[in-house]
Amino acid sequence: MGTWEHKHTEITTATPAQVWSRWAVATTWAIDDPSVEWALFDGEPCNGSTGKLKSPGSPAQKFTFTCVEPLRRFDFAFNLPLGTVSITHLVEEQGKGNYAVTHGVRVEGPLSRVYTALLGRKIAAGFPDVVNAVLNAALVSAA
Amino acid sequence: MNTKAPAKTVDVVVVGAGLSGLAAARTLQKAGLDVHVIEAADRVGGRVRSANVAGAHLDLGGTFVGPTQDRIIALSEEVGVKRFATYVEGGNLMHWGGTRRSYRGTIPSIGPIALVDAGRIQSALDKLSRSVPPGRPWDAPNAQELDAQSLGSWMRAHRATASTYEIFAIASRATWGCEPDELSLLHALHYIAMAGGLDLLLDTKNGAQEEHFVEGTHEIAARVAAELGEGRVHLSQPALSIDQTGDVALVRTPDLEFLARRVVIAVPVWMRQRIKVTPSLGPDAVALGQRWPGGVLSKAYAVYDRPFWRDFGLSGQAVSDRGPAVITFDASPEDGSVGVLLGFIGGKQARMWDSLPEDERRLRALNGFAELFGEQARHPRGYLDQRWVTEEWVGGGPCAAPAPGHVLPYAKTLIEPQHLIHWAGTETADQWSGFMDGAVRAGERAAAEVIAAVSNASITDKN
Repeated sequence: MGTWEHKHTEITTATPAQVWSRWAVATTWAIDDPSVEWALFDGEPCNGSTGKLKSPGSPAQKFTFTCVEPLRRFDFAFNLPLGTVSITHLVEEQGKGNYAVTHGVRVEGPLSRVYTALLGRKIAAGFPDVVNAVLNAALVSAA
Repeated sequence: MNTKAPAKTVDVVVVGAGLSGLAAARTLQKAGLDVHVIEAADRVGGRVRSANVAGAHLDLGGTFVGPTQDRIIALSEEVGVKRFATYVEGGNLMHWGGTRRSYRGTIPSIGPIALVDAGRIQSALDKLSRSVPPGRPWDAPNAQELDAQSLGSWMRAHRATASTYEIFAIASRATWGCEPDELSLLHALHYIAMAGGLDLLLDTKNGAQEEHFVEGTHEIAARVAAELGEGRVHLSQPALSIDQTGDVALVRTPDLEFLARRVVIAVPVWMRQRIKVTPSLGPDAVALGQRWPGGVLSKAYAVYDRPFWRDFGLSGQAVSDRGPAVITFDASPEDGSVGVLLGFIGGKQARMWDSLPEDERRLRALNGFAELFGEQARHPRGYLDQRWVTEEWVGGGPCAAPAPGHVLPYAKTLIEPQHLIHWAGTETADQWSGFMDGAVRAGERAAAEVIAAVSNASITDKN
C-alpha cells in the first residue's frame, strides 16, 4: 500500500488569524483556489465533521475533517474507493513576525498510484498559486 | 477673496517637469522664448526619481540607457551626468518550473525545443514589427487586424509553447507592466519598432539595459531644471485648467496664472484628463486618457555590503517564473563598493504585490532574491521598493498599455496639437517611446512645433 505526499510552504507576515480566516470559511475556497467551484461545511469545522466540495467538471465530493486545531492546523480527507486523498494546512511561527504556511496533499491506499496521477499531482501543481492567493487575500482583506 | 498674483504673460507654459517637459522647456528657452514649467508634484523628474538607501544610490524609475538612445545620452552629457556599463560578467540565472539554473545571453536556457520556439516567435514578432512605421502605427498594413488582437492571442495563434509564452509574458510585464492578453498587438509591434527590434529592447549588452548613469537618472532632470533658472520651475502647482481664447491660453494652477502663447502638456497620457481644457479637446481626446492606461510596474531594491553574487560567477541578472520579481539586475555602483540587486515586478503580480503591506512586500521580494542568489540575499543592509501606481501624479508606468482595439482610433490624437496646446511625454515619441530617450525626443519635438508656430505668428505685445 503506497503513500504519495507533496507540500508547498510560503513564508509570510500574515498572522495565523488572518490565514485561518481564509481556511475556515467555506465561501473563500472558491475565491482562492480555481480548482474549487464551491465548498460547504456541515456546521463548524471540527475533528470528524464533514463538508462537500465541487470541482469544475466533477461531481461534488464529501470530505471529513481529520485534524482541526484553530489558528494552526486544518486537515481534511476524501475517502475514495480503495484510497484516501488528504489535504493538509499548517501555519507555524518562524520568529521575527514571520510564519510558515504549508499546504499539502497526501494520497494513500491500494489505488494510491492511480489517485496520485489523477488528483494528487494536479492539486500539488496548483499549490504555489493557491497558497499565494490565500496569503494575498488574508493580508489585503485585513488591511 | 482671490489672493492670486495677476496672470503672468509668457511665451510658453510647459505642464509637467518630467524629462520630457524639461527637455521641451530647455529647447524653447535656448530658442529665446520665455518659458515657465509647472509641476504638480513637489519634485521634478516625473517618472525618474532617486533615493539613497544604506549608502547606495537607487534609480526608482527610469534606470538604464543603451545604444541609439541618442537624445537622452546627449542631454545627460550636456548636463555632465556620466554613464557606466551595467555589470554583465558571469552567468545569468533562471528560476523556472521550481528549479534554478544558469544561462548566458538574453533568452533563458529552457531546453533546445523551447529555445527554438522562443527564437521563432521573436523572429516573427521582429519581422511583423518592421511593418509598423515608427510614429505612424495607423499606416501599418493590416493595422486594424493587428490592433484587434492582443499580444497573447497572437502568440497562441502562432502556437507558442507554454515556455515561450511565459518568457514573453515576463518580457511584457517588465516592458509594459501588463499581461500579454491585456496589450494591443499593434501597440506591442509599434513599441518594438520604435526601439529598433526586440534585441535592442530586451538585451543588456548592446541593448536598452547596457548602461547606468553614475549620478542617477534623476540628476539629469534636476540639472536641466536648475539650468532653466530660478523661478522657472514651479513645484506643487498642478495645472487645473487651460482656457484657450484667440491666440492666448490662460493656464491656472492653485497659486499661479499664466497667459501663454502656447502650452506644452508633458504628462502621462492617462493623466491628461485631469486638466480641464476649453474649448473641449473633444471625445477622442477624452477617450484617449481613459483607454491608454498606464501599466503596473514596481521595483524592489536590496542593498548589500558587497555584490556577493559576483563571487559565485553570477551577473546578478535573472529571470523567474515565480516572482514576485520576474527580472533582476545588478544595479551596484560602478566601483562595486556596495551590492545592489534590482527586481522588476510587473503586470498581474504587481497589481497584487502593490496592495500588500510593506513588511510582506519586503519579505516576498527578498525570498525571491534568495531563491535565485542564495541565503545571503535574504539579509540586505537596506531595502526599498517603488510602486509607481501609488504616485498621485504619475499613477502607473512605465508607459501606456492600451488594450486591443484602442490604438488605431486614438493614436493620431496622441500627438496632434489642439489649437495652442502641443503634446509631449514619452508616449508621444516616435523612437524609444516608453523610455527616457523617448521622453527627451518628444519634448524636443513638441518644442520644435511651438518654435515653428510662434515664429509664424504675429508677435504678441507683452506690455
